[in-house]
Amino acid sequence: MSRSSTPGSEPRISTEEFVQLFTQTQRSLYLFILAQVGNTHRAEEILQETNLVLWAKLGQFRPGTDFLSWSRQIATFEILKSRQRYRRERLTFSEEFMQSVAEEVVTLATEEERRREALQFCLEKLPASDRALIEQRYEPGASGKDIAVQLGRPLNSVHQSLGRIRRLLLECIQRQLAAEVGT
Amino acid sequence: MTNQERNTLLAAIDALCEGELSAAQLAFLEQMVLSDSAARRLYVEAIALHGSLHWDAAGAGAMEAAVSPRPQAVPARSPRLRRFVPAIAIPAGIALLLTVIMTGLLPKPPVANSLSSAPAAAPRPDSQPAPWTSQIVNTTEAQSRIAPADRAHPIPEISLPAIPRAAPHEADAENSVATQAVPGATAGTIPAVTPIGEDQKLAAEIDRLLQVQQQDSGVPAARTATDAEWIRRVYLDLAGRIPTVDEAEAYFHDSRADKVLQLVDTLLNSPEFARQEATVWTNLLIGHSRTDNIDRTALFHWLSDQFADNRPWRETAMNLVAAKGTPAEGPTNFLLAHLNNQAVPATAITARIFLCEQLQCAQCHQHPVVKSWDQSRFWELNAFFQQTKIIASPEAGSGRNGSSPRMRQELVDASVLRPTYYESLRGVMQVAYPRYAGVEVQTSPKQSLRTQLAELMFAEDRPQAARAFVNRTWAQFFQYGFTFPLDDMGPHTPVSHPQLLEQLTADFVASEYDVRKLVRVICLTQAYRRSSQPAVPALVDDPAKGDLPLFAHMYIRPMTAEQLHDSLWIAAGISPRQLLTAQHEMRREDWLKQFYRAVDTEENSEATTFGETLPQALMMMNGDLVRTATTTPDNRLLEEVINRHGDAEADRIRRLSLAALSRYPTPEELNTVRDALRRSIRHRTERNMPTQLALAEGLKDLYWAYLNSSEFAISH
Repeated sequence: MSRSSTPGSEPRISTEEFVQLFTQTQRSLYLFILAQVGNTHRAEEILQETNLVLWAKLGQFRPGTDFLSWSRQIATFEILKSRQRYRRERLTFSEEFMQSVAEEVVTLATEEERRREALQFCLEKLPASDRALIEQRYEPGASGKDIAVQLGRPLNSVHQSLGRIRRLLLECIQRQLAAEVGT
Repeated sequence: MTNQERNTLLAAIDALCEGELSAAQLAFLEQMVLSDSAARRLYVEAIALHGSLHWDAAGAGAMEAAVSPRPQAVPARSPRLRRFVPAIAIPAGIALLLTVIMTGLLPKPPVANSLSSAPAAAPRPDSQPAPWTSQIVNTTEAQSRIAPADRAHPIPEISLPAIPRAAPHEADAENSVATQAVPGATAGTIPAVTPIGEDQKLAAEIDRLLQVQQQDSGVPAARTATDAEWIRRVYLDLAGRIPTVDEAEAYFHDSRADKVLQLVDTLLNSPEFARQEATVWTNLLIGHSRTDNIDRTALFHWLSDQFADNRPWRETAMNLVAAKGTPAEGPTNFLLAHLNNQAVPATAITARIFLCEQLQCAQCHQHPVVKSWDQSRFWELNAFFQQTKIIASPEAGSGRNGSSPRMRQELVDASVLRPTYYESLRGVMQVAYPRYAGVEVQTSPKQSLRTQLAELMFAEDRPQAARAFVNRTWAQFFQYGFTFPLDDMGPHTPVSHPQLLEQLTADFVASEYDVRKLVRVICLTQAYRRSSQPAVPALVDDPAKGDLPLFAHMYIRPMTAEQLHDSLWIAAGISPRQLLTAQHEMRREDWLKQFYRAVDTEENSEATTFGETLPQALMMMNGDLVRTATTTPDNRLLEEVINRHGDAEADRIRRLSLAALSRYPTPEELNTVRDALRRSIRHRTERNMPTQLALAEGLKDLYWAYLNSSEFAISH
């Protein structure tokens, strides 16, 4: 948390500006990491590590340059570090895969705000029971297993329902974005 | 990608989301993504959906989760918070569980629990220097919105940015606004003050109507708030900041029977009230972030003057709707900000702000619920604004030295009117002429269309504008209005207290739209003096979940960004008078910018990150302002507490608690905090730090913990 010791002559971003940029880009950064690691907990962990580095390097950021790109570079490095740490795990994505996905995420990021709005809209359009299920699933800390226990339904069928709803949402978002482009 | 491949891919992604990806699925996923661009795209979209649901739920869901009583009462932090806390609390080492901070607000049993658990958890034999950690019992919405404070020890001694500080004599002044008649409020021009009795009768009538509904619902009213609870609330609402130590103590020791009334009147007549109302209305009218071509400050000052002189609301609102001229004139800025896009924002916002009617859906189609609101209703209102233009001319004196001249904006009404054309759902072009509530209006050389609109909106037989103002003002003091949403009072929205709303509206119209009187009546009700602890926690209405509010207890509100900013300065020991300076105004504007940004939509909306756990917590933990407040000698109040020789620890703690939370600590809190303070001093002296310095550092840490407690950032 200590401030950078860069000499005062260099342009330095104020804490307020930094906080603003930082908070505005957290979501994008999270999605960037998640696509490459595929696991929400791992992605959160890496985001934390990345944030630590961002704060420590606060003084190195040049105002006027792209904050998100800068953060992504740091995150990429942290993802690789995390990969090292978990290398014994059975299933990890290849570096080639991660790189290719990362590029795609960057391309898609320009639409992020519109996607977020479309998602809101599509969530509202869901049948009530589907919506309730999705909310239960994504309640902080919840998992498909918890819901299955809660509802007394087989885990399989819960997963199937979730998959179906996610597909509905995915298609709805695609339609929404296509419609926007059309008008 | 064949259909079957697509399905297999989606199934693999689902398995990934649920943590059940098999090796075969992983291989398939990798191969598809690497070989097929459509598959790559699909994967990224699907995983982004999963991530968005997860991320957004962590923000919104955590709040809902906190509202419903959770089985595990103690700190269920939202994932979003978990995400960044370690980023702040680097050198962990826990010395204190300041479990106590919110206990004053909690129903009894949890208090007992949290306190009894505190000593058990606190004395860990820790070998590191002692930072403070406040662990806050997470039971209310407001709490979960505001970060618990994990402090990385200690704030390094850093060179502070030059924050303009008070001239010593100014900050030193013991003068509290509350204890003296403030000039500036143009006492002479206040319209004849109604006899005290009348407002109190009205307040009693309000309470009666509220009580009827509470009894019908079987919800008992909460106890009356303590002096400490009430004074903090009323200062935040009327002055936009917490009370100073002196103001709080003066009120506690005031033994007059009518001290509530006295304080309400003092605050209502202070320039701080005008400033607070002007702040609220500037934000409503033009938001925080829009700056192009408009002079936000001029609007703010104009509104301030209107409220300071207690001009009738009708006059203020009509001026805003009908204003002409340059930005410097103040009221013009409202429309200068919203005339873009064929005045679509101006139309929607005028209806929403002044009438609490959501017409914007009728822009493209018939209102989905209120069938009588069809497209023409929107466009006929829009037509009133079509006469108005913004013209830009080079500013006199600028652009002489070859530089391009500065342009001066001006709001003018053209003499000819072009009607509005719009496309109906069937694709037919329609024409709309200015018409409001069935009255068609002609252009006239004497009166602009907007002037005529303003008169129609505020005609005597049309109380909707007054009703809307009453609804908004009520919500300013109780968190919720009589309708939900507050600004959608169409015939389709249920009203929680119809009779009360009509009564207040009628009184407001009869008083010639007297803003101060309306606020005074509201502040004198019993309802406004209720504690935020429900009488029976099980029997509680929860408007956040869609219940119609009963106002049986005070709903806990997070501070607004402005309240938080000004309160932090007060906690940093400056005199309330300094909040009224132009210099402070600029400082506040700058500070607010970190939380707001404009969003380009047809409603000229803006996005805020204030109130979200993360940005607010970061600001509180690391921001320069909080650093100033916890640094000596920047914070004179803190310095005074530290340097008072011979003061017992308990007295120092009490004073810091009062400065931050407007109340004294409970005996249990005091014990816990004192133990922790002693431990932290011992830790430091063991490392050869002089005792006096160790005490100072310990007190600074304590003050930091108070400012970062949930209780600080809420109004309760």
